Amino acid sequence: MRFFPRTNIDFIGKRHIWYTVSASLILLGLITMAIRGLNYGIDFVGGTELTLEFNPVVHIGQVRSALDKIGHGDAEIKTFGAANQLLIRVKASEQGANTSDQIMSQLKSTFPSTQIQLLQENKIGPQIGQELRRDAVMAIFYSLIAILIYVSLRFQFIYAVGAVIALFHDVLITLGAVAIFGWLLPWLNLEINQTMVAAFLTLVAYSMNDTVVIFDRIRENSKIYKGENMIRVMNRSINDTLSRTIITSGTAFAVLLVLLIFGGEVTRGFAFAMLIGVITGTYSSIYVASAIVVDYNVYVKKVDLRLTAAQSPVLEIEKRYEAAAKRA
Amino acid sequence: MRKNRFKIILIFAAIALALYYLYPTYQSATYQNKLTELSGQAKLEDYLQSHPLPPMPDSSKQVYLDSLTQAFSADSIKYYDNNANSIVDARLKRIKLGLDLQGGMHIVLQVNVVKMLEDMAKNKDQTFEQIMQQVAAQAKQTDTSPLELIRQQFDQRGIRLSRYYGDIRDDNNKVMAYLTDQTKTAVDRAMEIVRNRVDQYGVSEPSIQKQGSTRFIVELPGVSNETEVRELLQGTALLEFKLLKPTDVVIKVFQAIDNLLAGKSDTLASKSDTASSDTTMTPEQFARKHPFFAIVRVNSQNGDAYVAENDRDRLERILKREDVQRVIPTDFQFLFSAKPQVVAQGEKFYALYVVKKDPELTGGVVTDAQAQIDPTTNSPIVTMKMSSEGSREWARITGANIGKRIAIVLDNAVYSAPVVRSKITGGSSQIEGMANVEEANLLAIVLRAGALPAPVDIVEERNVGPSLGEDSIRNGVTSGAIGLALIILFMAFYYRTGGFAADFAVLLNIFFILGVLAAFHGTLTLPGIAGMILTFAVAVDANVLIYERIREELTTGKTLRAAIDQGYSKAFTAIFDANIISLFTGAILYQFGTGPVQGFALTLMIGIVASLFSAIVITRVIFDIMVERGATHINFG
Repeated sequence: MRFFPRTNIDFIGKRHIWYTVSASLILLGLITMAIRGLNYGIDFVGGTELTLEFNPVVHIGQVRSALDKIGHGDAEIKTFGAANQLLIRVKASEQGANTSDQIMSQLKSTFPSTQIQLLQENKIGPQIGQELRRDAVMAIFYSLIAILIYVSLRFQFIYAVGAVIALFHDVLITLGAVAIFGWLLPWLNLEINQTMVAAFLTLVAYSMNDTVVIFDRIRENSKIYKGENMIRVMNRSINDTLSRTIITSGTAFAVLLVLLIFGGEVTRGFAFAMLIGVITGTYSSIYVASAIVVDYNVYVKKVDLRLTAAQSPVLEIEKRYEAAAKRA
Repeated sequence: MRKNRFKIILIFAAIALALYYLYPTYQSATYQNKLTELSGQAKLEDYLQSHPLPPMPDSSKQVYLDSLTQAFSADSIKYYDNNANSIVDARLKRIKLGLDLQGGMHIVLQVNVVKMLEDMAKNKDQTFEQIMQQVAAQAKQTDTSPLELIRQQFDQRGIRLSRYYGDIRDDNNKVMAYLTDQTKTAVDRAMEIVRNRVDQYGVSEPSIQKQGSTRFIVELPGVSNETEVRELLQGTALLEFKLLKPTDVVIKVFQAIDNLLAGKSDTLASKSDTASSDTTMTPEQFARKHPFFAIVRVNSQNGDAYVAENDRDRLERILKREDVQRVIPTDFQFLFSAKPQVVAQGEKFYALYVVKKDPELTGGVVTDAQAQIDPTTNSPIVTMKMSSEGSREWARITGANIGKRIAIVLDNAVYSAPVVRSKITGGSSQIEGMANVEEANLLAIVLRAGALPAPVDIVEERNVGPSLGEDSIRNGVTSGAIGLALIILFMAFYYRTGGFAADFAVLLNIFFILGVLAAFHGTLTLPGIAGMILTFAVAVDANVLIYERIREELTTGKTLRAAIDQGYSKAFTAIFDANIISLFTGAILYQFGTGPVQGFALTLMIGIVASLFSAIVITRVIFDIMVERGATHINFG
């Protein structure tokens, strides 16, 4: 069984088109973030957050007016998963030591015949929120540094630069997607919290994984075809690994989709960010990480990589078999 | 076969180890099921199915139901008592579920050091208040310790610390050392008090950990009453001085309880029937004849009573029984020592104190307590000072009870029970008999701890209700099962024989991950389950890389054996580089994350190592064996 017979696709030749696509997507995300802002979770802003289940279901408006009476009229109230589950959030600046107790007793007295069950409660002091935010930024920063160092040691420095730029690209696009989908599909409850940060670090690792597999093949093929045109070698390497790339990202995608659908409210943000991350991580290995290495050679090192009319953009595979035969 | 012998041994050893570490988890789950099955709640529900509740006012309904539950609980309690050691052991070694899965509270407490330092200062003036205001504001912004911030402020203004702290002749370094020590003591004290209260509250498997220099984390699985917990953690500690009941009276009561439990009608103990004379009986016989003395071991020389750690719950249940309550005089109270004593075999024993219920004196009167070394005897002592009002009371109490013992009780745990030597006037007492300086220090802490040393703020509180936890487990298991099924089917379909080998490896992998998690006493959280699901994909990736490579090699016309060799060795560098980076990222995430996120990072890291092992070693051995048995063709799809 074989989904992808030997392919000869000219990936690198089309890179400038994809630069434009990437840039526009990133821009779109940045604009959305600038206008709508990112929806930060309680971990990072601090405050009190209650998730309650009401039996029978009550109307959000009624809950709001009940909370208004105890001075929490501007609390954020939204459904959380099922229609009878509500998430109520009060900002850190307005929370007192007993905010959650007050809210609970107010709701119990307003809806005496309704059964109210506490599903989850989080109370984060403003200082903790700030620390968690700083830790998250540091975690992402340190992992990028670690990657930069490791990839420069194992490959060449410019490859490390390409890989790290690809990671920035992935993080920006995913952030943008979180902002856009969080705005268009509010029921997804996409917000930047600790789990989301874990998703970002995991997608960084995933994207890196994918990039390294292609880089590894480029490294190997460059040795076999010394002096060959770099674009042709890269195209060959990407085509060689294409089957693996698609199968791995396909299985990861399928598993994450399952998690998104069946995993419930808590892991939804994680699964969503990772889904986007798998797509962009796979794509960026080719069109960002590898493409940057090529353009560095073209524009900085002034290597002439133009192909002659007789050369196909992808190195013919038969050459390798000849080479292999010769070695044997 | 021979060249793979080492690998095969390795694989079986890994499987055996995983089984060994996972067995307690299985065992614990079995016990849990059995206990639930036997529990009063389950039987009560059955009973109510066939016996509808008789008509009665709402107020008595709960009482009626409670009494039924209690009646039905006897079986589960008996089962628990019979298997106590093994149940506790299995629970300790099982894979723990995170608070997000089993429900419970996670609380981060911070000792307000700024406030404490403010209270400690002498000769406070306007300058000082200005400094403290600035420090309080700064402390919210940075990680630098409040103490360091104060010093910086003082240095900026050119003021010496000794103007407000310590002796006027002390230099800054000496004052700083003193304040640092005080801060540390305050945090330790607060932790000690909180730990004691949590123990008293009766939560199973609480965890209290220090975080940084001024914070500590309290985790209470299965607890959801936040109001109660908040009070428990932040309220004022209750220090009491209680008179011990005379030993002979206590022994009589013990014997009465023993007789009652053994089913003897006469409550008067006969001389020949005391605990010490039954030396020839086996432990079982003794336990049957003297159920109470089997739990409460009485030292025949001085009458001190001890209870093994495992028996504590059982004793508390016995003491609560209505019939037992009837033979205990009403002003009796049973208290345990705060810390167990460890005997040679590693068993832990709590001292059991029987005291007069009404305290002779309560907390607030103690103004200071210090641990010292008595210069004449060279042994540790604690000196305690009291307020003038307290001193008068204390003089009266000690005067009336010379030769008797008074227990120092904090939040219902006994820290010490010294003998009153003489009437103490002037409010300064000396307590002797501590085994070492640490014990003396702890007692001094307890005596000073009428209130928490410094205000303790709750800076983070997370509470997961039990129903959400159950939902999360179900969601995690469902998505894990579906995801796994998808991958297994795909691999078998796409890579045929190779796929089956990979599937086998992935299944073993799950086993390994859980085994390692159990071995490291890791905690399984919902993000952790997500991490495991993701690991399936990673595990498959390594095999995909290898199989694609083998397919390529086969198309160049290599023999099966050569293609497998080349496939594995050429794919190795890519697999290695890619996974090392994932491991880095996992480690960084573990370092910076908290709670559930750490659980994710942990399973991810374990998963990477385990999948490398299963992808590179296990599948390889399978193919090698097939080739050696003469296979010339293996279907890689």
